[in-house]
Amino acid sequence: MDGFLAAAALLPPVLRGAALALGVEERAVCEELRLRRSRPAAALLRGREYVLSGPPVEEDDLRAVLESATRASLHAAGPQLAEGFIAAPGGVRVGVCGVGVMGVGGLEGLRSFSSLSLRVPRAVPGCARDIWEPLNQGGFRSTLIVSPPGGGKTTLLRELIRCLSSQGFRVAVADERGEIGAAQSGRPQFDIGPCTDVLTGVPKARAVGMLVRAMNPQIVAMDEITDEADVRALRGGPGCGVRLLATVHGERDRGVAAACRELLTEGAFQRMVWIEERDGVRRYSVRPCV
Amino acid sequence: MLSMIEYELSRFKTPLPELFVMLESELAGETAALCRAVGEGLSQLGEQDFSALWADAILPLPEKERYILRSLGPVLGRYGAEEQTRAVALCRREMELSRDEARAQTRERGRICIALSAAVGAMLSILLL
Repeated sequence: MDGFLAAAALLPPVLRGAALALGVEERAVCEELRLRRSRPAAALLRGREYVLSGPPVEEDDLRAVLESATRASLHAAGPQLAEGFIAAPGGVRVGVCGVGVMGVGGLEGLRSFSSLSLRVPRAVPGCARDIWEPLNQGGFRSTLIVSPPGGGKTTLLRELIRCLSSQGFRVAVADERGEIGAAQSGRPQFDIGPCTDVLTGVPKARAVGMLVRAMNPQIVAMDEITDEADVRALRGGPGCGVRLLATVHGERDRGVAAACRELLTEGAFQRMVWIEERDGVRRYSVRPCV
Repeated sequence: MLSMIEYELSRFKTPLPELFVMLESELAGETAALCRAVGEGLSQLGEQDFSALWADAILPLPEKERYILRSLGPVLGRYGAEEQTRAVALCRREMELSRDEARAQTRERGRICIALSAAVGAMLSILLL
């Protein structure tokens, strides 16, 4: 599945044309397509935004993208909008900015959309090749993947899931945003291995419990530990003998996001993979968790 | 059909692809055909937007109904449930008014026909006499 084409397919015709005008090499490194009202669309290439040809984006263009992303069902996407994103077909995550709609229970959704960010999903088979041996020395242990936002955590997570599953591990994936497997009609669009079970669209914290109770996994995988609920859910894993594979925002100099520090202190993870980008090249390093 | 759409959107926020499959199975005739056309069109979403596929789906309907239903194309699926429900409710009321008007016109035409027939009959009677 071509993630760039999946993202471009969500755009209305004029903007789609501007995106498809990118060359093959540019498409291969395109991380996001960004739409902001009253400005031309832009492509995020290697961390920098490049303006695409075409007219300024109008509100109708943003609604057209959301119409495609939600299968003409924006009214049914309230819970996702309240989290600031839409999980679109093809594993494309559409980040949404606008005005919050507050209700009795808190934030109910967004309106008056102002900008969208279409994250291009990618599978990079073989990207874990250099770290496979150190990760599996003495057997696979619970592993945390760390990088700044946009650093390639989800891509590496997807590849590790595929590799572990191909080795025969039963891997259960809490795929809240549908980015890891990009399931359509129950079928993952990315190759995530023969022994993988995916729970899509369920909040991660709840999904982990469901998977551990019902799917007898050997490894539970999830993307982006962000809050206390995720931390509580992952605490249960090691107690059941289930190994963990997860990602979190962080930088080598500044450490990992606060939500995850307790888990590290408690020994929930035994290994960390740091992803750093230098001179446009991603480098992975495996370290024991201390 | 419009009452059912209004109900499903306001109570359950049913996604449109699911909604039109359900409507097609529960309705008959022209309305079921319209729902089937919308459902098929939704599988091609992206090639054309909902507004365009809605306009195609309502083409076979009589002009007056088409004119009223056209307003839903740019709204359905693109706005929140509340805005969509309001638009569908407005559309439903316009359809009801249009049908009431048509019925009233038919009744009026009927009365005129009866009155004319009576008048012609009376004239003939006078002439024969």
